[in-house]
Amino acid sequence: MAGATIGYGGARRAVRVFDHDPDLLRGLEQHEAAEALAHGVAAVARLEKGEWHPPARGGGEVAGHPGLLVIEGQLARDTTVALAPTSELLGAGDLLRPWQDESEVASLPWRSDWEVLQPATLAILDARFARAVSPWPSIFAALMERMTERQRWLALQLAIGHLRRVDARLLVLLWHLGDRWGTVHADGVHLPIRLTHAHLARLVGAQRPSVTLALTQLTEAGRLRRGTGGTWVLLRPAPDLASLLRKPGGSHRDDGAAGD
Amino acid sequence: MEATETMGPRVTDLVRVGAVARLVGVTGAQDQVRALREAVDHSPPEREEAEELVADYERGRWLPVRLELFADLVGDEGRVERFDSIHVEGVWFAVPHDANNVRHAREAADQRFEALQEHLVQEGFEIAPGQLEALPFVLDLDDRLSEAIEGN
Repeated sequence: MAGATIGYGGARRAVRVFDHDPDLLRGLEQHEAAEALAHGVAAVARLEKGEWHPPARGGGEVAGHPGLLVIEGQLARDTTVALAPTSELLGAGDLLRPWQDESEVASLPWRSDWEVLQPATLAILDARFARAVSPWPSIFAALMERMTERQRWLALQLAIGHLRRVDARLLVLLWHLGDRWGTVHADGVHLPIRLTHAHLARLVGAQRPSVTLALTQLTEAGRLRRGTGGTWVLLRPAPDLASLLRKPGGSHRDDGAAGD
Repeated sequence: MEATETMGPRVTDLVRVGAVARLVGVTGAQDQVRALREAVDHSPPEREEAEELVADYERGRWLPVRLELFADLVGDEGRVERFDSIHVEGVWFAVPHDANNVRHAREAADQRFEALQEHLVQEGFEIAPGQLEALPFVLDLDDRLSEAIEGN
């Protein structure tokens, strides 16, 4: 793994947040949006690949911060109970409050760890930013919506983990990620996300070798293929629920010829 | 004149389902390593992950395994018959053997239970879709694999 980033990392610059995430202004009239755009300035943190140790709540640095808005990049928040980790994948548009760590007061131990999977840029929505955009409550509603979306995505991820077959879990997960961060092309949805099989295993609650096996089967079955630079291409048509319960590569009987 | 017998579905009891895990030979292992390399993209981070896995395999931390799924059923004459026509290639067991290997075997088997069920139906057994998966899963290691995985 690459190095670790402590807090917000090194030098910061300021950006107009809504240039990067105009969807947050969708509840505003055009003239209001223009004004909010000018006022909604925030410092950004640049996180390199590797472990991330975000600022702690106790330090006071984050008092009054609504959160950190991911502008670009990918992060994973791993939650570990005993030795079994599970993961949440975060990317552009997600709002984070990494200083909130409920594990500190948990009756039974668990922990969360952050990892930057692809270099990430986070807008630091601090108290000053909150005051600057306070004339437009719909912006806060939009931010609350982002938090709710995270809860919903996690609930969906839980449901995916209950699908019996690992190939079905992966297919639903990748289409779900495609809905969030993919782009639609003639041949399917291109998903610019680079994940190891170990990461995918944590996302769907499976063993790493099972993910490798299932991805091979899905590729052979024409459900997906690799794009350039490690991206995924989810081939149309999107799977229907019934097909997810069937095998990906068509039914055939082994004759015992394979193997040794 | 010979009597014509009409065969209906064979009503049977499922005794157990599971898999025999076998250590693949040198050729099979080479095939499996090649398949592992082909399963990953050639850009980071997957390439790095694959290289690490292959290095671990070369150090003896992973063993390439083939699963032979089986279903034991009580047939017409009350004898237990084993049906094991379905194989799963591309399975990897960590050394030393642990619960994650068993989970992996179960997940790999889940990908092929439907094929086993279809085979049993072709053999005349009345086995409904999903019936095999509902049973507890038994994993047996063959002697070579047991020796290799426990002997380290």
